[in-house]
Amino acid sequence: MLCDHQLVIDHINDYVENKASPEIKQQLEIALQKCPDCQATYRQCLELYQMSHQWQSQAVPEWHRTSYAVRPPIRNTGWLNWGAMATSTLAILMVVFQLEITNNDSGLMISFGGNQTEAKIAKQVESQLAEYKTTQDQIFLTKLNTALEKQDNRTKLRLANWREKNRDERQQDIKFVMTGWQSQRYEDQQSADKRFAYIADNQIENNQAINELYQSVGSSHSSDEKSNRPNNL
Amino acid sequence: MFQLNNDEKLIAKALGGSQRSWVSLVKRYERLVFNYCLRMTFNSSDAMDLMQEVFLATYRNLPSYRGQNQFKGWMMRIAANKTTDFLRARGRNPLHHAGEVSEESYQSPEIHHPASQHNDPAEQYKTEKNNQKIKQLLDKLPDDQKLVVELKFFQHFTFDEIGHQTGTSINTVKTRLYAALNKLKGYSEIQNVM
Repeated sequence: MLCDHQLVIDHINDYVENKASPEIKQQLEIALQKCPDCQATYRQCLELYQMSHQWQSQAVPEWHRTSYAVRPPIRNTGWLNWGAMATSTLAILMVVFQLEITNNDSGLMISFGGNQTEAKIAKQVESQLAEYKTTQDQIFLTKLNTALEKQDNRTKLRLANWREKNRDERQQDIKFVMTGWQSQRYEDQQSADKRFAYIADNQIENNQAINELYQSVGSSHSSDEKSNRPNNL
Repeated sequence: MFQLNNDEKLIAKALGGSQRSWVSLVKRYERLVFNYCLRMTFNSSDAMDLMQEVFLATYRNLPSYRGQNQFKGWMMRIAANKTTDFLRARGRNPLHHAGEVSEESYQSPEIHHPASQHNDPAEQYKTEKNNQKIKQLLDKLPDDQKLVVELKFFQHFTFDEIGHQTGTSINTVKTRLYAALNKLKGYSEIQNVM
């Protein structure tokens, strides 16, 4: 008889801890009596169970229980940092704009851009304005030339297009007139042919009528008519 | 029941920002978690690191604790996950020697603290010897089997709870436990022969 290891797997812990039901307990005891493997498993389980109770709980070394949970305190030195930053910025701006504070007879004078008199500044402004004017003139001339060139090219192109278009239109008109004239001529020809044919037919009929007239008249004057009758009618 | 209610109150207060409540909660379970970590890592330094990771993860996940289970079970589930990650990371570390637990590798934290519960040196030696024997035995097992043995024999969880904590089925838990018993059985037989 094969041993049901699954029974041991499922309930060996309950058996060792004395929590198994009487029925399971009886089945397990039968299995343990017959199967050496299950006996060894039981012994090992029992040994582990006993060992777990032999474990002596170790004290926890001292540690900071809230170091990860507590935010570091914010030092209230914000004003100091802001003050230092403002002072530094002011000093940098004073250097950049060349701030000068002088005390003369007319009083305290604050100036930017270094030690320059008004005449120097005016001269410098004038020279800069002249330079600016020259630059602007050059730019204006350049732009004007460019615009003129563009306009000239545009006009030439438009004229060439117009000539080309005009020539084509005239050719088309002549063709149209010629075609009309030819068709009209053809129609006139047709009409003349018809008239000629009509006249010829009338002439034949007239000749026949004359001949008949002659014949009717000639019954009395047959000898005279024969001598006077026209040929080939 | 009183303990359970007390846990819930402490958790509610800790969630409200009370550090004192959180410290009380940690003090209540730190010994349990530390000894668990000690048996899983065989090293008091690693055990401290792992314990701190467990409590950090518990603290971070505390808002998601719904109170449907016992706090201990919920926390031990986090501990099981953290232990698995920790052992896996340590296994990848080439500096870690995954050999047998020796007396040198295991140092009881009580040695470093004069406030020990055993004042008798002989008693303390016996305690350390017992603990070392248990750790040597557990060291023979793979990490997954070791975790199941720990949760079953030392934490006394049911198979259902262990399955829930390790994210495996009950049958898998039972199979791992049976495999662990078979493995230890062979080791015990060798020890007995020697």
